[in-house]
Amino acid sequence: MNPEFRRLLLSEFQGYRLIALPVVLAGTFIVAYLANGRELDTGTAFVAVLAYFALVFIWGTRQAAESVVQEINAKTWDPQRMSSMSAWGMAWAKLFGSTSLTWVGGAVCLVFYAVSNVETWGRAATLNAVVLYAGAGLLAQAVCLLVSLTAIQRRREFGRVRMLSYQFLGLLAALPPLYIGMSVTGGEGVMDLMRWYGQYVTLARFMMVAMLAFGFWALAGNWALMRAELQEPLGPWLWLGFVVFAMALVGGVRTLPMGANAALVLIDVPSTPEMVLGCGLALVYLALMLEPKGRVRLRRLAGRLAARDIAAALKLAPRSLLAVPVVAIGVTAAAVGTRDYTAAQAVALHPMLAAWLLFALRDIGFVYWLCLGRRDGRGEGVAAVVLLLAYGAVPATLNPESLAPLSALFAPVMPTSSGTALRIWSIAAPALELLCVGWLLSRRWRRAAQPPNGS
Amino acid sequence: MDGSLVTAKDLVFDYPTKRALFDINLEIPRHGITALVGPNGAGKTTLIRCLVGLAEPFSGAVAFKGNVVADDPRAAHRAMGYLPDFYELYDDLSVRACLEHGAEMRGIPRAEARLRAERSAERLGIADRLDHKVSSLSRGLTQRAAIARAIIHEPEFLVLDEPAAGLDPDARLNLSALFRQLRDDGMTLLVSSHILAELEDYCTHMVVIRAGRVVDLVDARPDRDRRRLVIVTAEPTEKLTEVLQRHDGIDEFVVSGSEARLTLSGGDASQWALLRELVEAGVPVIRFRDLEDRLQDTYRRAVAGSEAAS
Repeated sequence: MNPEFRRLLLSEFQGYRLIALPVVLAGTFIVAYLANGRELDTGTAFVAVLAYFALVFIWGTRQAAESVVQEINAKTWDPQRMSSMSAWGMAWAKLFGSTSLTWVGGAVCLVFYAVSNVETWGRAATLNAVVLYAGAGLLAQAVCLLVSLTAIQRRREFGRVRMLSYQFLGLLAALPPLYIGMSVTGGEGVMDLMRWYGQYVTLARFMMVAMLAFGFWALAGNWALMRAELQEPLGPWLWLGFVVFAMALVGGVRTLPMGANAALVLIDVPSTPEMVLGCGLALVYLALMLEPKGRVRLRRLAGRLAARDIAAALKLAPRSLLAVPVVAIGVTAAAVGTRDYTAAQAVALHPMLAAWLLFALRDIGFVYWLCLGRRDGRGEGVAAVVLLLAYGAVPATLNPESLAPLSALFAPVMPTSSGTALRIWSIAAPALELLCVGWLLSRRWRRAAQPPNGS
Repeated sequence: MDGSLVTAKDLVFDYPTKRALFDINLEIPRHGITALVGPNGAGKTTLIRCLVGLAEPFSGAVAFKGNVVADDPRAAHRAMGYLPDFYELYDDLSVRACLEHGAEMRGIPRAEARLRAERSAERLGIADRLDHKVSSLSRGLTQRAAIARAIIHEPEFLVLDEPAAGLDPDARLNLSALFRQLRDDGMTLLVSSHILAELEDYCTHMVVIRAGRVVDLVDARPDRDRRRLVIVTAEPTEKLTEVLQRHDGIDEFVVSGSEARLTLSGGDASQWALLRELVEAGVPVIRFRDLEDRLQDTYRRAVAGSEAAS
């Protein structure tokens, strides 16, 4: 057995927890059963789901997020890093070992849930829901570990608030499948059909498959980040593969059900390339906010580039920046592959794509410029506020078309009736801003690239 | 140097706003106990983390047995043991479980890990505590358990960062004996501390680090052939100077009133001959003893030298 997994099992399954967990669960279920008129139905199922959420989504995500961080705080992590454990062995041991007790409790809850629900929903729908809940729990915990492993690339000190934020991100990742799981309760309803690459599938089925796929990617991400911790860093290929996967997944969506249950309606997805662009850019910005930006790392990157050691440079290169050309290719491929894309739409796409990519590059430069200038580690936070204002509040106040030229300085403008001039300006504006940010960044980098001269 | 197990060449390490190590060059000889000394904040822990391959230097390289650590840190780690400062063990486990876990994490099969745990505990004198919970151990015993865990895979190179911090005097004495034993068993040790007195008993070499720079590398083993002596007479006498002037083997001496300080070569035989000569010459010797060159003096000289140079 994996020794780290065994150690975590030994730590988790001992002391008062071993007694408290079965007592609390048994007490909860007995009270629910009695309060429900000695009936097992959706009422007791609801209590079981609540207990499952508390165990797997609250306690479990906390355990997953803290599994490595606690070791860092206790200074037991460095000896672990010097062990002979493989990155994969370490990653799964941390994920499943630290959450093992919550999963045992969670499994009991799901069994109680299934027993309570099976008469009302039938076997297939109940099993569907159980798999969905289990998958969402796994996804949330895997993302929590992923986020904490990402964070330890940048810092080695963690407070409670920070841990809560990692937990929050994990829960956020599991929210869509959970939402679907809780709203599409029938599981196999007719109204919740969606079209994906020409195939009609139920939204519940699609979400489940997507969730399992994202769970796989989260595990792969944990493995990759654990490799970095164990000093066997990977190149950017896994990350770029994930970007391609996410864009391909989103790019296949043609119609989506909106609303819930009886109010569900099918809507056509406005444009596949735009969906792909949105997905790709979301990942670019996610990477931008999470990736390490330390000046030492950048100096090292500059050194590797100067030595033309491309393989080593790719391991250090900003993932956000590397994703930009992949997004461009992905959107272009989506436009080519979209049969019902009109010529006019195709003509409008390229300026929009160019404008968005230029804005993304500008923002990458801007965030790095801010981070290089701040020593308090709050560069990303400040950048996030500024970008939200730039993309949200400012264009909203410059809404009339007459102000479009001004608005193009803050966010991509899609000219509808105006002519070529505005189209050119919608690209020229972010290009000029990119040049300005590039100039500022190069000035700041010249200072940051200098080795510090002592204490 | 053929006899060195670890070498650092032009090692530079940067924190975002501070250079922590400046062009460090050093060699850690095999089968010795090298003390890494320096004030708090000198860069000892950073240097240690670079030497064991846990921190990647900005430039320069560390070689372990001739191989650059950064090229394959995990290969180097197989032959290294490391105990960080202010470490913790897994409190909720027994000492046995803790040691077995340490062994298995080093790739030792489970059956052998049990034997290794027992052997390692015996070596550290904690065999009778194997089934105790780590949380129930005293600080000194926890330290022993941690070292037992760090050496469970029989590393060639054992690195301990401030191992005596928080230990009582008895536990410190035990630690000294333990380090000597490990060295005698063939290990090479690097021990960092800012408390020189505790290193005196066991270190064979000393690296003095100050503000991120190595200011001295010294062989701390006492020279048995050459020693410093102090002679005190009952009253000042010219005869003392006369004897010291004519005795072979005295490299230098200073007489001040009724006290003389000198450096003598020739070991025990020469020391005995000098004492006999003094007595035969009628010098009223009331005290005749070695002046040990304490590590603290060596450190002070090194630091003074570095300050003068800068």
